[in-house]
Amino acid sequence: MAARTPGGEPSRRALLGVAAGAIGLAADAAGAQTPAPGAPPDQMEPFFRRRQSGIVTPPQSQVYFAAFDLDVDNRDALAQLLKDWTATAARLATGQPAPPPQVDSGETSGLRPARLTLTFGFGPGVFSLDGRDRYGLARLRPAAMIDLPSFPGDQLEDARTGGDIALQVCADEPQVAFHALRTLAQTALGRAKLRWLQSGFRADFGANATPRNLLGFKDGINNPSTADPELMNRFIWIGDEGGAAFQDGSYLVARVIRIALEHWDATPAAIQERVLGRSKSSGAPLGQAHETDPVNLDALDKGGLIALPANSHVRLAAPQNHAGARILRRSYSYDNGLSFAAERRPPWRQGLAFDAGLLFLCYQRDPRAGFVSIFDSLSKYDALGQFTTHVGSGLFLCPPGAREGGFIGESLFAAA
Amino acid sequence: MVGRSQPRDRRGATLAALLVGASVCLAPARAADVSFYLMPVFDETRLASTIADNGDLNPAGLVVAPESLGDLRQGDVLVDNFNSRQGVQGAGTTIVRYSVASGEVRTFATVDPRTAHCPGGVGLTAAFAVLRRGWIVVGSAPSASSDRHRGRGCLLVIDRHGKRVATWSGPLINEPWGNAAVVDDGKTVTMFVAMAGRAPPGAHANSGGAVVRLRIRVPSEGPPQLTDERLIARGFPIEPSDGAPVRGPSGLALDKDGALYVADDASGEIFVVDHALTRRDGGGGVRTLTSGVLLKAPASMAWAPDGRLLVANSGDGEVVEVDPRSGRQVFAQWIDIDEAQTPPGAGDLRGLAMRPDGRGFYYVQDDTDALMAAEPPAPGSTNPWVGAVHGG
Repeated sequence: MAARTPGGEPSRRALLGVAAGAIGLAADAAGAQTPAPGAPPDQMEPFFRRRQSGIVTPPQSQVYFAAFDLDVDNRDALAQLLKDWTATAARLATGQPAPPPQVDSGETSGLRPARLTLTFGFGPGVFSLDGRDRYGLARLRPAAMIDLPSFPGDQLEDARTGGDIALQVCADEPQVAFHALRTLAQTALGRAKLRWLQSGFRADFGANATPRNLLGFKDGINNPSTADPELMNRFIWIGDEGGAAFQDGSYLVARVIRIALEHWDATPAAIQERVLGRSKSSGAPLGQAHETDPVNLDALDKGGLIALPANSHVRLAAPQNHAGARILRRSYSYDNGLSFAAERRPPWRQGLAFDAGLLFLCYQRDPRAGFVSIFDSLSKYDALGQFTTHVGSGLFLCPPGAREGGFIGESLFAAA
Repeated sequence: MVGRSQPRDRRGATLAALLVGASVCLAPARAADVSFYLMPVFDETRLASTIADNGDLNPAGLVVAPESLGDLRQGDVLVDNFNSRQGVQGAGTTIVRYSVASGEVRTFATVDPRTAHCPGGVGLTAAFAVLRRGWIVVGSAPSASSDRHRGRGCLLVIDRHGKRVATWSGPLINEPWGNAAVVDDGKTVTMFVAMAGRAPPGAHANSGGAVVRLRIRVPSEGPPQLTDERLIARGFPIEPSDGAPVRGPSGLALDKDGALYVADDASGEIFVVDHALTRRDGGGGVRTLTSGVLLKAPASMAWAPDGRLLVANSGDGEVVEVDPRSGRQVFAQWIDIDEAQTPPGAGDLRGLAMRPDGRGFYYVQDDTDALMAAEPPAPGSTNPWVGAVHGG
């Protein structure tokens, strides 16, 4: 049977000899085999696999999310950069230093891989920039690779928005994650430069508990189960709709969402619950008893009123309101210290405030059916919008994983 | 003490309970008085987002188009924005149009501050009118931050297609601020504009809270012309504010006898300026109609069908019904119960206008940048917006 990688899953190379894709599906979807947060730090996530790591991987405790702008001016140079990134990433994922001749910075010497994952995504600039088909790849841009619309209330900053290449670095040890980012940036020196960077953290609430974000509420309750291959194939993994080059990839939407923590913390918990539409302690939807109870839009409260307010976050985001759309959220909290902010809603505080909130990361098969559909109504109606402002954004097409001996994005270049 | 509906579980309130409350609260109450426009518990419905294409926020004024002309259809609602996309107050440049027919909102006008010739720049305010011949007059009180003005501002004239065609500025125009009152017979218009008046006075210039009366001639061809401007009342309280650049004379309403009512959100008072259509100077003749009690930073005003004044409280999200003769505050309904604010709804209400179809009123909600409609509920309503966090 298939050879096993240190992570416990069949390696891509082993799978290549197996005709039936269903085996690969089962393996990638087998969340139970993948260690949970708090797992021993020597555990590794294989880099070479059918689908990129860091998507259905149980979230690690630390993220560095980076967006690069490309400085290479032709397709071969771009392919070479991706080959070099692949070689470096594959070594980092197994705890090895940067491949020579690159000199490793050394701060992970003696540290374990800590489930390091490196997930690459292509921004619109890979296909064209300012209408220019700079790499001859424009015709391969799938219809789902849209330019994200401008949503009401967006206050997107250039310094936290866009980018040609996204790199999501996750690990259970911050220094391992930062080292990987720093090393890959060095690999790209002169060929791609960092455009923006956001770090984030996620506390370990235990293997079976939904984590809480800075709002104090559980975040990610309604995520589709990564252990359900049918759900993953239907909602998260790209099929053959955009051409073979992107099959088994996924679209990543990143949003930096600043939260007016001062305002939120002055709001009583009962009101926070009506804003979110969930119990703060249990996570249950209002009108329901348990965290895992499905959201019931018609549930009544004790007074006979609709339990879920019309503008509550959960109600507006419910799949019932978006033709059943599901996305896989993989968000992290962030804290950038203090910066000036002007609240966009009453009481309109202006001045220094926590620059903190949520680095919202979500994966989906098609962003039009996923994030855009869901956030379109949230951006207009969500009660939570009184406390949150989207200040950064990006849409990236994460290609399928790389085979050993291949490279990230290889299928795109094969089709070009 | 006066009657008041409750902010929570309002559908549970019965008419009987309200009547009891009212009869207790209104002593001595004549039978004819036990009827208030705001007595039924209104349903609030969100009609549309008022955020403009350029991201402008914070809806200020609200007017209803009286005729179908150009890009305007009779009954369309125009809303202007006071804040820029970044949330900077006194920097909004846009008017959006809500189509009653389609339910859609489109950005109707975007004023370019570089070419508007408006002293200090552009930050559109509630001083806002749409004239019968399709011209729009809107105030601008540009601000640099929450407590600094950028200049005296102006009144901008915009055509029926959203294009700015004229700018009126001058010594009497100093931060046009509160919602306007208008008498419009088509060819001639009298428009009352409240000024916050913080810019330094020049020679003979107006400063401080004041009301200016404009006479406007509207030719059958070409833009309206300002033929006369006169300071008719002054000395209204103004004060700096954390949440808005200034508080001061913020709402105007004219009755059929020519008395002008002035709501001031700095002092929580409603003043009366008698003979406002004809008086010739700004000295004297201003009296206080009512103050305090239910009035919490009163902003805009509108006439209810029963002849009473509806006053939108920016201080707590309530709409207060006031008898213009006695000054009695006869009733209040908590229209915006957004509990994310303290007290609920604080800072959320600004513009208010009656619906031409008689079914309640329109208002804007600053906490969600929304155009809302409030109307008496249909029997058996299960509108999920009732009890919503925004109160809308």
